[in-house]
Amino acid sequence: MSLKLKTVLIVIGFLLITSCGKEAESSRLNRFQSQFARRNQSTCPLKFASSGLCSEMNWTSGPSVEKESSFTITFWSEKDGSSTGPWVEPSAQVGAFIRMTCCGSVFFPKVTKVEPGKYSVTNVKFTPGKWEVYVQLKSGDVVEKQFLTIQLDD
Amino acid sequence: MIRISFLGLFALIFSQISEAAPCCGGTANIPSLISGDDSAQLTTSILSSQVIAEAPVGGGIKYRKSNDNESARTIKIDAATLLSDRWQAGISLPMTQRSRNRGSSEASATGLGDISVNLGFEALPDWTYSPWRPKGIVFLTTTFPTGGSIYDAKELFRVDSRGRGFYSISAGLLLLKTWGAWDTSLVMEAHRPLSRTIKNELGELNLKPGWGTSGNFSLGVSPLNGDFRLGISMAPSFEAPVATEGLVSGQGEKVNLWTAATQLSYMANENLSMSLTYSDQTLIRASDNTALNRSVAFLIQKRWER
Repeated sequence: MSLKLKTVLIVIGFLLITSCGKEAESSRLNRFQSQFARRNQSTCPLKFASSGLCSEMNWTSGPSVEKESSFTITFWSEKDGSSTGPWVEPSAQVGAFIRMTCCGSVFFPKVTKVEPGKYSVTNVKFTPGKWEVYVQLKSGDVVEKQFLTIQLDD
Repeated sequence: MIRISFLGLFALIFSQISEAAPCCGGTANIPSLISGDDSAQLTTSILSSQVIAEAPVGGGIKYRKSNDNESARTIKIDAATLLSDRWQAGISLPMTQRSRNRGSSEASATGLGDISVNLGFEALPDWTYSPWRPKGIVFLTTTFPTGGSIYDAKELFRVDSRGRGFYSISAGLLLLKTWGAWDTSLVMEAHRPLSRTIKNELGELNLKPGWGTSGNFSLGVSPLNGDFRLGISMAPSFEAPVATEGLVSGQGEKVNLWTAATQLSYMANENLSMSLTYSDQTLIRASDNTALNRSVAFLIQKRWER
């Protein structure tokens, strides 16, 4: 076995061993933050395929466990729009809720239409832990939802 | 027989101190039972607890920061009466204040906890002396979700969550035995919370809780067979995950909670006893997915002889 191959195997072994332990809290938080940032940077952070719409969440307060959090949701056409507009009003009912993954508890914040294609979600109350933040479009029996995961720590 | 009443007091306290997880716990279903030669009993208890740490999903312990103070105070009245020679019934009425301040934010809420009613049957009477056979009472408890829960809470930090949020049926067994100055008790119960549905304009959310079980093992001694009793105990509890269907499908995480406690009791006379208990949920590090408390409880119990 060549020296180069041995070196590669040792490096792979080291990476496998160090990645098997419990993930550090800080690196987990960084991972969730990165995931959030990546999705927000993409051209279609939350895709509603059946409506042909993209959506984006922008926090206007928080996310925090120490105060009420709030965010806006904007919608645009997947074909010819972008996160800067023009915004498109969904034909379906817009809703939002948050779910704590540990316990299955779901909290329903207040959703208010600001202007066509833009909604304000207020009165969002988190407790420390892992949460899924959902945006839902509902038209009769047709329901489409997308979510982002965030971790709020003590 | 008086010592047996004393023991019943100790078993009862675990319906107080095993409660508490602001998130997913709230686990004890141990009712107030007449264990001595009494026709009725009335117990008033005051509990003060402080959340010290979290047991994350997967175990371990994570202590709260110094600027994060979460506490609860509960006053609870438990009443029980004999229905016949071996049958008895009881009710438990808790009132809880929960508060949390963290950084510059604070929230507090007070209200009724989960009310429960129970039926007990003396399955193993101690009419004749036996050196080994314990006295045994089987019980059936129904808990009503009057305290709100994490599924109903509206306030910051969910401080208005004072119960589990489900109708629940529990069946269990209390065993008591004394040997001279020494005594021991064992309580085991299993409970099944019932599913519920939350409806709103977004759709229907079906909450499907799983089985749960809890227990308490205690050991005590009354020095010189006197009026004081010193006791230690250990109380594990387990809750299966809560699944959600409908609006969002998913599976929560199981909850394990272990409580260790020490107790000093005093029997003022044959019909009146009191107890001071200190409990700590950080001592036995086998809990997960729950908040961990330290608490102090004071109970006073009045009994009426047959």
